[in-house]
Amino acid sequence: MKNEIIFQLVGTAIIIILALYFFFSFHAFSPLPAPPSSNQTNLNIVLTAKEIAKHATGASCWLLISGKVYDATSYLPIHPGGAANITNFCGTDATQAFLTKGGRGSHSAAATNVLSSLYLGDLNKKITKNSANISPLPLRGGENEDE
Amino acid sequence: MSKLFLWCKKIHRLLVLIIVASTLIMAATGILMKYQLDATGQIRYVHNQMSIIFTVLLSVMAATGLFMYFFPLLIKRKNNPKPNIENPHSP
Repeated sequence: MKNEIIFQLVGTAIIIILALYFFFSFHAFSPLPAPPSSNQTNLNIVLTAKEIAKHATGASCWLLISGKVYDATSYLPIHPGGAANITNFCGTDATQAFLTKGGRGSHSAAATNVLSSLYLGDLNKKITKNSANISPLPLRGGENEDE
Repeated sequence: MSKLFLWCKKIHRLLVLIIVASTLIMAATGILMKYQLDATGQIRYVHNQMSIIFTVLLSVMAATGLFMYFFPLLIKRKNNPKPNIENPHSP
């Protein structure tokens, strides 16, 4: 009986510690701005559909939603619906997918807040966000970033 | 089978407090999300992560509970078979 109570208390403590760990580790995973990099992305890039289409993978994922471009790369690992539900739309217009949550309702206000933190700029306009926060184009085989 | 029954009983008893704690956490985070008190998505993240543990614990409780519920009924039926109503005067 005593062992039972000890086991239950230990198990309950583990559950509470886990919940607290997830609660406080959330900010560790949230898309915070990356530190300034020596390889600055050209701020003169215009966010055309062709430019957006270059960022169509999980390594660099840009989304076009309601005429605005968002860099979802850092958010992919923590998306509650899984990364695949976003990567399917990388480099393309994801307006309907976002507004309808892939046909399963609508995103919450929290999701809209997170999306606004990933904002790069408007379609067919120059990038308005600090270039240090932008995920670079994935390198193809044989290419050197400094070339 | 009776040994399995005893193990189910033991597991079910051991998990009681743990399932109560995880249910309270899931209920609290669920209600906070329902009434849109989760501006940053932090509560949703906790709910999402804890749901895996909660589902496993609840499934184990359900399985052991079901077994404990039906096992005595099976034993009772085995020990006390229904009388032969077709021929009540048979020896």
